[in-house]
Amino acid sequence: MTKPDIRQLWEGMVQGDETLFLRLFRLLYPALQTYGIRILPDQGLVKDTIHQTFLYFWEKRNQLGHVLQHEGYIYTSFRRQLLSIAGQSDKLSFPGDFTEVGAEQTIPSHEDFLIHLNSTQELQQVIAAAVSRLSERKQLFIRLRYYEGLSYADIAARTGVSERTIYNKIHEAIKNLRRELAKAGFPQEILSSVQLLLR
Amino acid sequence: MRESITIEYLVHSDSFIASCLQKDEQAIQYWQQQRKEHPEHQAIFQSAELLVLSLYSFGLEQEISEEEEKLKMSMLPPAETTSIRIRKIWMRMAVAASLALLILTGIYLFTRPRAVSYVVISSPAGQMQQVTLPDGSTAWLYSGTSIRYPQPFTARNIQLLEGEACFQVVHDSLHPFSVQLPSGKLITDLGTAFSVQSYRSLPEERIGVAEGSVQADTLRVLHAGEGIVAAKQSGEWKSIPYRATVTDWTAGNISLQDASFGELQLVLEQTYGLTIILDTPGVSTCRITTAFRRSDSINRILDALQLIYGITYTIKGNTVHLSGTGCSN
Repeated sequence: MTKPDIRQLWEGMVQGDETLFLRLFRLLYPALQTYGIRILPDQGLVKDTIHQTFLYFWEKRNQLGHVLQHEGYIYTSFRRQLLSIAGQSDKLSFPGDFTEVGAEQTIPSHEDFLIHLNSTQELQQVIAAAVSRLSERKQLFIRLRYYEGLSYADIAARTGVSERTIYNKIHEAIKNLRRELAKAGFPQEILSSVQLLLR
Repeated sequence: MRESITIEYLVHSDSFIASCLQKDEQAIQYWQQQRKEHPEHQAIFQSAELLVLSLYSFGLEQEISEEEEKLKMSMLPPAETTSIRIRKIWMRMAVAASLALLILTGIYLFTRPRAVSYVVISSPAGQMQQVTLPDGSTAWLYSGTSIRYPQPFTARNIQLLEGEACFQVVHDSLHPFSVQLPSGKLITDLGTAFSVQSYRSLPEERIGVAEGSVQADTLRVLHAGEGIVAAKQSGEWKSIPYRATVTDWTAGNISLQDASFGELQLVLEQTYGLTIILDTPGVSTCRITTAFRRSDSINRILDALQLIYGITYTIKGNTVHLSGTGCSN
């Protein structure tokens, strides 16, 4: 994500361009989401806060022309909003600027994670297309399992479906995925790694 | 480590997922250690991680799109939210560029004061056409689509008679390029690739922009990624996203997003020259999101529908019978 991009989109927003504003939203969503989840591990709250922060920007866009450090301003607004929503919650932890210098850090920054994520883009597209053909239910399980990172027990509690069924559905989904990848003529080396799944 | 390291084991392991998503410090440390101790399994670790991250980003993308829709709804001024709520239904189809045979179904002569002749281009059912217009612009006609244009092509005005067509326009501000829809709406190019759709059997017309922008009649200017769906009868309209690109048109992908069952039926009938019969009317309650290529066999598509929506099928010659319990949600 380059700074000129953000500036251009931000300025578009200030001038009331809905398309550029939504593009800004899409561009920053992954970063704010991963950043937010490290401050407050509550997916729902983080999602709502991103929504509210951007709605605030849009409604106040006429008064935001003076902002120069766009990215910094966006992060700060988002963090403040998140902290005020979270109130006194003891779930809070402070990443980045609150970390002690010199402390050994095994959890990489959310930026590192995003860079890492971007390196898998090619496969991502194929998988996204394949997953989007699965039933809504399987898509939901995959999302809860691999996006929200919930355990089978958590998913069972949330959806009222037995753990065994969820396991089977996900297993089935990954099987289908492999078939889809084969049909899509995906390069053998990547395909074979996925194929290993089903041995 | 008690269990042997396989991709299957890894992608089902809570702690491995937590380490890939970098959510748990202990898990990250544990799996870093495992990787060090088992360099021979490096490829397996990498593949499993790749898979987990791809599934993660699927979820992320899905959430972003949902959240974008939500944000859009919140942005609308209250007055506009009362307009009809047509769900975003998108039908995109495209042609492989190699199918370039075009059929001139007729040349009509009009004996008006100033005689103008028209060229009519139709793509037969089951085939799609890529056509180069006299000004060098490109048109993609989906199966069952007809357009006509005046000869000579000095006033660059196309009429969509039926179906769906996409245009990549050679821009010339002195000679604006426009397309007129059956309802009378006039879409004027402002330097663009765009798509228009109007089927007699569907109650709505659609306009979508892939590049640049167009003036959609008097309604509004549409930019890349934006579209409109308008009811033919009442004229009520609504902005919707348009996600196709020119590459999609040429690549031959067909994708339906939250389409009505009627639209799915139309697409399949047009694309494969079939008749589709619903044995159980309940099936038509399903709203369909799916994607396929023109080269896919009809069986493959129906298999996917069966998997996703529980719609079963039988094929007898050129007739396909569908049945299922429907989608009541």
